[in-house]
Amino acid sequence: MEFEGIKAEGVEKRYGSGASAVTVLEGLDLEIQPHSFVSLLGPSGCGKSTLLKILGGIESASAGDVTVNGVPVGEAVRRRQFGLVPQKAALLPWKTALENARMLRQIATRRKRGADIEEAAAKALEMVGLTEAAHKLPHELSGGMAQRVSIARALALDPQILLMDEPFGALDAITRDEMNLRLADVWAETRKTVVFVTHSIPEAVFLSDVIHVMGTKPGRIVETLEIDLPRPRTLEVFDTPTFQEYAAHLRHQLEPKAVA
Amino acid sequence: MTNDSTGTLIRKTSDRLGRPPAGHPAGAVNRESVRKFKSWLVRIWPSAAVFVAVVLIWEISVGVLNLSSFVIAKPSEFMQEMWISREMLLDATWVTTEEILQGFLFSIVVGMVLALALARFHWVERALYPLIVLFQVVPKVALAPIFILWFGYGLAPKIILIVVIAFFPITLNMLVGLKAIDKELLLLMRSIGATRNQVLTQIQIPTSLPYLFAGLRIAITLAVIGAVVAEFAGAQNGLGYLIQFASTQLDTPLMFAALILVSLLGLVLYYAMSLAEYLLARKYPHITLQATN
Repeated sequence: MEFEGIKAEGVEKRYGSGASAVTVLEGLDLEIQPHSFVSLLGPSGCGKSTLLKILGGIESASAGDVTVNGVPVGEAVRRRQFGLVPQKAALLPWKTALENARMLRQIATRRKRGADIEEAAAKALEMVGLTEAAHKLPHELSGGMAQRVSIARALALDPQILLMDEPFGALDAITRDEMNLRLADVWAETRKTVVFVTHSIPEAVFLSDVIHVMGTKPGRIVETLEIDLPRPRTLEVFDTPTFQEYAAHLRHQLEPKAVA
Repeated sequence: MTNDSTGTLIRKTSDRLGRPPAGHPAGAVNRESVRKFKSWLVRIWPSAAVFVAVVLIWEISVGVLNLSSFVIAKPSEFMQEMWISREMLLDATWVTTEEILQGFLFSIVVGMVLALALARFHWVERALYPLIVLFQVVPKVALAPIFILWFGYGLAPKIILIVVIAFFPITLNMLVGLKAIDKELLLLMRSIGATRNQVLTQIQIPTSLPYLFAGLRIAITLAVIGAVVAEFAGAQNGLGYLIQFASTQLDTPLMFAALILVSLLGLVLYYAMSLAEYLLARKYPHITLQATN
């Protein structure tokens, strides 16, 4: 069956009830094309992480529908179509990089071992360039390496959709560039559908096919921008006029509006 | 100069952490252990000196002040007593040890099962947790005569009193550990549709182990107290019983001899517990190492 992508219609998210209710997301429609790299870009507090969790079936929406490949998102979770890369690497400290990479697939398939698990974990570690570090424990890894194990752990699930929640937010600028390059390579190789949450404009432009710009109070999508830059992308892309134009446009979009 | 002091600082830190710096060569192990022994000596001698001084002052002042041996025995007297009554004392020590170990084992089972049930089922937590805390307010020493009344003079009331005293730190510590789950890990588990049982067995239980061990160390010392108190309340043998018996006979040297043995027993059990933890931690480092990323 051909993968159809993610559709969200009229998604709302409220916390609390009555007068004290807080609306985090309102009237949100979204379509994510299969095999595309999509970013949710916005200032902190715009509900982009919440939207990601709703799209991935981790949190439920207060109203609206999310369908993945034509089925409700809960069913998609049961069919193991999502691989999550959270903000922190959240590796199990008592397991090696390789064991951490295997871990989610073992739990998801309810099998301790299997040729497919070994193969998927080893291949995923290779993709993120950590074959050498396979037998290191998390406390022996740098922040960037830990985050790469986290990506490998999601890839080893062989999901249709990768959900990435500001995975590089805590890394320094140089490591971050390196991670972005690597992620672009991984994406080119696997062509997974990626939903990527970030508040970094250059990161979003560099990685994405489509950027959904989000606004606050309540969280909503204010613009959908297609990024027409050639692939494969290298760091030189940052210096091209087209890139600069996109970045300038987005910066303008995200500028805090003057207080009336 | 600056480099030098930084180097010392770092070495001292790794000393305090009690583990060699990562990746030290195998040939250095022997020198390392000699160095460790020396630093152990350096650490131990002040308290050893104080201990010897106290014993000496005790011995001399009891003689000088001419205190009756009904009131306080000289160290030399109860050491002598320990030798004379060695068979009786060893027998009593064995009886008490048996009580402590059995009671401690039951405490572990009860403590862990309770913690797991409280963490796994919300309704158990809502129903039981307030009662468990309430139960902590009851002075459990006062329960000893009741248990004797209900269960007689045998092993059963001792084990029950030990469990009642010692299960709580095990339950509480393990429960804290079971709930110390990383929020992001929980999200990961949800993203693959993992069940609550999977979260419990794969993530929560391993995470709780260091907390559990901290609880076990508290529990073993409480188990010693529980055994002695239970023997006070009614027993036919054991170190607590001997202390009680000796006091009715005004046999102060015997009382002190038994008291010293109970203390030693507590010390030995506590360090046995630490050793078990250390040996396990060598195989499974995560039971004492906290998550670092």
